Amino acid sequence: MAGGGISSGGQGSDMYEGLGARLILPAWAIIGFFLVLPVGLMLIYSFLTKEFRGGVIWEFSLAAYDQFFFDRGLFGDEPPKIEWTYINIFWRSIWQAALATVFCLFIGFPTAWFIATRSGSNRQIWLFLITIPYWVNLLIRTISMKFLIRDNGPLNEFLLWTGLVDSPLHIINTNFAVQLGLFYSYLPFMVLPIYASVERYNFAFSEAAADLYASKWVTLRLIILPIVKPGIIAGCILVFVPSLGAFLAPDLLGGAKNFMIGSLIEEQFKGNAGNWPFGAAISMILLSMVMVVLTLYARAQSKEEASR
Amino acid sequence: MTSETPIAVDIQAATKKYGSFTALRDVSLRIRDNEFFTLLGPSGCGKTTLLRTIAGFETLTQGAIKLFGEDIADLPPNKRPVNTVFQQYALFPHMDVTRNVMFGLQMLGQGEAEARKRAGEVLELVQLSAFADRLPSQMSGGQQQRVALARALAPNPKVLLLDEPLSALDLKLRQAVRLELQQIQQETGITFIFVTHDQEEALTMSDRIAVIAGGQVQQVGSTRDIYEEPNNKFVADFIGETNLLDVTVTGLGAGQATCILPGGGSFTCPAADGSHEGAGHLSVRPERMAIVPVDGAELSGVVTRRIYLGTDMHVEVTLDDSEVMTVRVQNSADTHIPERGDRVGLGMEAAAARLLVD
Repeated sequence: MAGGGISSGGQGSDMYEGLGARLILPAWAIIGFFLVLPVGLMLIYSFLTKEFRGGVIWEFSLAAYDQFFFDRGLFGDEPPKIEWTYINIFWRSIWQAALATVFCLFIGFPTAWFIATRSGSNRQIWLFLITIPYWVNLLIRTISMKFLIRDNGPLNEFLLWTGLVDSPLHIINTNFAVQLGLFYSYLPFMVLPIYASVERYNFAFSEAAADLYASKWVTLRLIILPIVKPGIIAGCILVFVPSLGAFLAPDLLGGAKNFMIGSLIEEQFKGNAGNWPFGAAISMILLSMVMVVLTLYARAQSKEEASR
Repeated sequence: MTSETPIAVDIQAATKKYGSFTALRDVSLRIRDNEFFTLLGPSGCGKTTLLRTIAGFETLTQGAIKLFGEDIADLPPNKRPVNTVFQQYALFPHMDVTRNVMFGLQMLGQGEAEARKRAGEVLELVQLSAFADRLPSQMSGGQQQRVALARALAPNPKVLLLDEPLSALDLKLRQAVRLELQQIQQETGITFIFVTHDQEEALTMSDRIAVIAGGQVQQVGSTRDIYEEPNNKFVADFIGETNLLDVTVTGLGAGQATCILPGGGSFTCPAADGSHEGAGHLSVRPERMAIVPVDGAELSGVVTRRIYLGTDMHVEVTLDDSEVMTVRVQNSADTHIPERGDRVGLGMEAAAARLLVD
């Protein structure tokens, strides 16, 4: 019997021999079409000259990057100074995205934990409830949020009615409103990966820790968190990266003062007023920043594994 | 062991209910210090629940648990000076072997260096010094089992709880580890409470055994008591193999019973406490029965099957009232083993049989 199994396995591998390169073609096609091509196009555009009514002139230029980093005065003839406008927008975006990630983590982890510790069928119901709002378009949801939190919206009316506040809370067009929007948009991206890793967590580890004199908090810190860490990291990346490039929440809830990178990029491609090379350049800078962060993380991770 | 030996774990009238299901029903046990005590029973009998209530993972619905005289019912697991070897080991997957073993020590407040030294000692005890830097995932089942043992022994607990720790190992390994466990128990002098469904495991390792079924203690005693003097049908049947003979008890007195055997003969043998007159069961171990000439034998029947077991042979004899008895006969050149279809008599000494409580 065993011999038969082995020989049929041999036939199987003969059958596919030499097919490897061809079998991987679809994967390469998808990567090429959806990743290499658009990003490559963006990279090329960022080095072209802008056309004033939108679009590009096919002429090499560093103007887009220059515009991002340097201020050469109104007519472009003064000695270059560091341009802080865009760097500040970047900085604010990073800060907002990081904050949104932290909020999502603090609410998402207990939520995921709660769901993962329910019995089988209840879990499905809770997961379903978490995902239901996401059947509605993000734009609609963000606009609804705007109506909910505006000065004479239902939230404020309720607060006035309860007497908790004397005058409406001014939430709309603040950083807080942007936070709320980001949190609301991306919370499930935190909950789902953490849920997936908590669900696999073996609760015997917690019992073993308690048996070995660890309190609940120590167990959480030394046993649970390190074991479910991959889910937490995945959730943080899935919230941080899209938050960084988000434009709906800052546009609709944050107003003009609370601009983020996403809005800045969007503006460059909208209507006739835009600057395509500049938009492409900002996208490339954003992309390289994300890449640097993820690479640093991957390197730290592999170092940790090597040290074991 | 003398009666002066202190009681390590005193379980008093413990009852545990899950909704309408009663997992433990009025269980009372006194486990002595330095004892290798086994909770033996089929799966779902409540033995693991009992162990978990001692560890503190379950709380009793009624009753008390005392550890060296101190009531521990209200203490959470992390405040109880007992440690557990878990069935699936539950080794922390992100820590190497040394870190796993050090964990309990550090939780008790020992410093890094001190804990590391003690971990080294315990790993030596379980012969795993060479694997100190490995992750649990890089070890075999048997090695993981030893790490789990080392981790639980390191804090030097007053009582060590072992929840079917050998069930995930293959037979050969299981037999080797049995001896080692017993040796470690004797060397360390720690009270071991060992849960298993494997009666052979229980018999080879334990000082005393509590047989549990249906959430109740069926019998507590030394391995010899449990095997040779079972109280009831369940214990006789669960521990080793036995022949159960339907008899009618006509007289009881001074621990002896007089009964009528299926063939009509009268037979007197020891009786378990609580047995009664009327219909009852005699337990006779296969190795305590003998094949004898038909004339004058207590029982007689026809050989219906012979099972070759290497050193022994099991001979199945169907009695005239169609009950099947098994006799264990040693395989040797000078024993005559009857063929299938032979009519034989079965003999048993009075001391070999025992009247059971149903």
